[in-house]
This record gives sequence, structure tokens and C-alpha cells, in this order.
Amino acid sequence: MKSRETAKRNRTIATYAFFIIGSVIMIFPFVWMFLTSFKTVSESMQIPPTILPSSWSLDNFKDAMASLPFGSLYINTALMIFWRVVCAVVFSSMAGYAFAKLNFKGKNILFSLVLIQMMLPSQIFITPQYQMLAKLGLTNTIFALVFPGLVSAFGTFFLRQAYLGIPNEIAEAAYLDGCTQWQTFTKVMVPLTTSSMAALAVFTAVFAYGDLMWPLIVNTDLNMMTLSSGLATLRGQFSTNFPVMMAGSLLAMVPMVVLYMIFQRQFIEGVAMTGGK
Amino acid sequence: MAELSLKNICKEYPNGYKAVTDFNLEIADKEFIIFVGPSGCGKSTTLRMIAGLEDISSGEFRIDGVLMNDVEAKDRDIAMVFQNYALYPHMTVYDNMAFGLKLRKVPKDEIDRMVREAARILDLEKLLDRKPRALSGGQRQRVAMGRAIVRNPKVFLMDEPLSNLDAKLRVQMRTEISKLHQRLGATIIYVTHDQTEAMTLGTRIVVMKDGIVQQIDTPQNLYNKPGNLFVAGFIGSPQMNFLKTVCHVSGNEASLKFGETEIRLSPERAKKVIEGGYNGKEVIMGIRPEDITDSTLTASTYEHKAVVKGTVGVYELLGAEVCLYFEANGTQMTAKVSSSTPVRAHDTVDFILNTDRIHIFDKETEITIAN
Repeated sequence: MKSRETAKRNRTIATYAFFIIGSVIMIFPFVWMFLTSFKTVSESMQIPPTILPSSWSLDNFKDAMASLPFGSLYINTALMIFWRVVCAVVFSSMAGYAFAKLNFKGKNILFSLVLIQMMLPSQIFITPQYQMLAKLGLTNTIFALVFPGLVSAFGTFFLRQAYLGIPNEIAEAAYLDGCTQWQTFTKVMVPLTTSSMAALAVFTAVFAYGDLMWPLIVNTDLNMMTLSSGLATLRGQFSTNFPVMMAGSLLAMVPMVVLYMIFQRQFIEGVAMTGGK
Repeated sequence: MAELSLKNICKEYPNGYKAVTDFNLEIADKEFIIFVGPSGCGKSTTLRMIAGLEDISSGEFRIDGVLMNDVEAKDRDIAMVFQNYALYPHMTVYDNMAFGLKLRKVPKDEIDRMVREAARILDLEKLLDRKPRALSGGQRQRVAMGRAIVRNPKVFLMDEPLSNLDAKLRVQMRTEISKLHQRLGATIIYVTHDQTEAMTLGTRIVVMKDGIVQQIDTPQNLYNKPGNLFVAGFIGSPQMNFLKTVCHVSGNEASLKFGETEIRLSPERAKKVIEGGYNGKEVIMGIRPEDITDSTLTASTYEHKAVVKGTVGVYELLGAEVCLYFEANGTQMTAKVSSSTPVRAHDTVDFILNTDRIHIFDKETEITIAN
């Protein structure tokens, strides 16, 4: 009896130890970023490295804010995230509903195309998408930032699964109650997939926030850049001021942390829904 | 309310599968029609074609003389109660019931009056602010009914509405539906595979098998005068006993030979057998378990009877009655007798058959020769 209890306790200790180590590994870069943002350049390059800064100076934050137009970067990033989320949710919802609940010719072929798009690396699309925007004279605009996120293959697939989970009888009951196809979609189906839509919104926002390559290519004017591409400009060709860069990164993190706090429930639900949890 | 007419209705899917073949039925106003049959017999498909949820491949469907084949489901003025209720999970009970009326732009105060009236009839008044997930199965079922009756449609369709309820609630709701039919005077089409529901609720029953109508009749007639072997076996529980017998004709008299037992036929039955030319041929004799008793019971008051010796395999107590599953002449049979019988499993006793209640079927066509 006693040996079984001991074994159980040891298993619990091992589990806790495993997760604590995992958490430390995950959180270490953030802690290092936070501490470095208060260090001087020489302190940050020191070997052996110091953990705590010698003085908690805010100079690096002042330098970061002086080097980058943070106001514009915040606004650009917010607009890009907002429109990408709106477009992804609205269009994916419509497409997902059509693929899940409507019968039309070529449905399977079209859905295969969606799946194929999900399988291809996104870098493949960068050149044609850039050429299209350049020819339209739309580079260095908010639209350029939003453009690749107008439709989302992942979103279509994700919301299709959500609609498939709703029994057909609910849509049929709506038809018999007098709904048109559009009313069935807007009044009955959409309200039933709000948690999936919220999860998709969070995913899209996180992806858009972290997207570096596309904003860096398409918007070269510093005032039209996003936080991620703006921060990338702090990297020099020969040397990088890491404390300033870390301070800038810390400032750039603020909106995402706030968003996460607001949508924590949806985020966790979304991760659970996609099987990531 | 409405009269419905279904003429030569067929449903064939693109892969060639025929779900319903040549379905013909005239439904009078205020009738309670039951579609009954085993799984996959086409009863739900027929109901869905009436609702407009499935296209009709061929044939004509009319409501009050108006052709409905190409009329959208929402414009047919039909309400349907689904097996899984299909309530809108994001709406309250009130909104679920009011939804159809709102879409029809009925004035708000009128909607309120109609919803509250339906809620009163179905005893849902205290649940109007609840969401479906906060309701029990029976309450959800009543909300689904309420959503249907509040619209005052021409026809009510019910697709196995009680099959998700437990046995006790099912009996209770069956009575409620029956009362509702009398109260509303509505035309109702009801799909079920439960023959008790079919027998207790319907004014007429449509028995289906493999997409083909087997018989359309009143519950009483289906029980007493089944049109074929399938209907005879499907209606009644435990199902009818079927015995392979040989027909013997002598002058105007006829009898069926089951092993050593000779079953003399009544003059009406004998006439049909003789006219059909069944002398010397094998025919199937049907007899319901409730028309067999065991010789230990003195209650047997059958006017015409035959006796078979059988060994009881299983004794099944139902309460007031007992089912005795026995073997006679190599055939498995069932008798439903009074629970006062002393007979138990492994006993060999004489079983008495009420020969006035037998049914005779053609062995090849399975059609009834005589009831």
C-alpha cells in the first residue's frame, strides 16, 4: 500500500518537474528580453553574461521610441490585424458554410483546391502577390498589408469543420420556419459558430502580428510598416544595439499581451479545437 | 387545415438507388397518418419530400389541390418536429417559438400572444426564458412541438419525435400528442418505427418496406386483416407465428396440415383456398401469440381449435401475461398466455390454437389468401 503511494507521489513529482522545466524554457527568452532592455550595450555583450542589469535605466526605451515611429507602427499593425481578421472571419465563414452545408457542382474539387493551398508553403505566393500589388501601385499602403489575408484557406477549413458539427436538422428547421438560405446562414448558423470564429480571429491576429516577411517586402516606407517589420530595421548590417531592440520588442509586445488577456478563453478554446492542446 | 394528395411519388438518388417507389396516398383533412416500417424503408424520405427538404424525382404532390413539387419548403406552410428536436441552441424557448412568426413579420404583440398561448397548452410557461441546453429531453420535445403549433400550419410532420425519450416519457408524450391532435384538429403525418405508437396514434397507418407501400389501413384492420406476410409480421408484438402447412381439399371442405395436427378451415377460408387452387400446395399459416393458449389454462373458450404439442424453451414474464417460446414440429412459436399458467421452461405441453383467428398466406407471393 505504502509503496503504491510512494510511486504515485514520485510520478506526480516527475510530472511537475517536467512541466516546470518546460515552462522555464518557454519563458526564458521573454525574461532575457525584459532584462536586456534595461542593460547597456556593453553589459548585454559581456562574457560571462550578467543576469540582472547594473541599473534599471529607461534610456533604451527612449532610444527605441526615437528610432521608430511607434505611433504609426501601432496604428498600421492594428489596421492590418483588424482587416485581416474581419476578412478571414467573414469570407471563411461564408466559404466554410458553403463547403459544409450546401450542395453544388464541383464542391469537392473546389475544396481540394483549398486543401492544396493549405499544403503549399506561403512563400510561394509572395512573388505573384507582390507583382500584382506593384502593378496596381498599391505598395506602401494598408491594403498591401492586408492583401494576403483577404481569404484564408485555413479559416475556410477550420470553419467548415465547425459547420459540419451542426446537425443538418437545425438548418432544415430554419427553412421550414421560413428562412431563406441567407437568413439560415446569418440568423441560425453564424451565431452557432461564434466560438470557432473567435478562435479563428485570435489565430489570424497572432499570425498577422508576427508576420514579418510580407510587410517587410511590400511596405518599405517606415511610416507604413508594422511593428514586426519596423523592429527589423533596428538590426544594423554590421552591429545591432540589442538593448534598444529588446526595448522595442517589449513595446511591440504590449498590444498582443492585452489582446491575449481579453480573448484568453477563446484562444484556449481555439487551441483545444484544433487539437493543439 | 389541409388535404394532401400524393400520386405516384418516387425518389431516386443520382447513384440509382430508389428510396421510394410509386407512393400513392390521399390524406383527408384532420387525419392522423402514420408512416411505419423498418429502418431504410423510405418513410422518412417520403416525409422529407412532403416537407420540401428532398426533391421529388417523379409523381405529384398536392396540398389542397395545389401542386407543391417545385414549391420551396418555406412556402409550403408545413411545420415539422424532428427526431433530435432541432431547436436553435442560441435562442431562448420563447425565441425558438417566435422565430418563424418573426420571419413572417407577424406583429410583436400578436407573436407574444401566440407564443404564450402555445406555451400554456404545452405547459412551457415557466421555461420561456431558458435556453434549450437547460431543458430535459421531454421539455425540449415540447418546445419543438410548440414551435410547430405556434405557426398554425396546414400540415404537421413529425419524424420519430419520441424516439429520443425514455420509455415512461414516451408513453406520456404519446398521450399529449393524441390530445393535441384532437385539440388542434390538425392534419398530422407521423413517422415512426415503433408499432405501438403507430397503433395508438394513427387514424390510418401506411406500412412501408424497401420504399414500397405494403398496406394502408386503419390500425384495427392492419392487425386483423394484414394484406401480406410482411405486414402480418410487422404489426403485433410478439410477432405473428408463421407455420409451413400443406393444404388439403375435400369437397367443399379444406384443412391445413401442420405435422400431425390438422387445422380445419372455416367455410369462408376454405372457399378462398379452393378458389385459389391451393389443394396439395404448401401455404403459410399465421397465428398471433395471443390466439394461442396452453392446455393447462381452463380459460380457453375457443369455438374452433387445434392442438399442437410443444416444448417450452423460454418463459418470459411480462406482468399480467407470459410469453412462452416453444418448439412444435420443428417450428419456433410464441404463445402469450395468462401469467397464472403453471408451465415453465423445458415443460412439454399441448398448445391450443384459436383456428377462427388464423391467416393464410401464399408461400410464393406472400400475399394474404384468407384472414
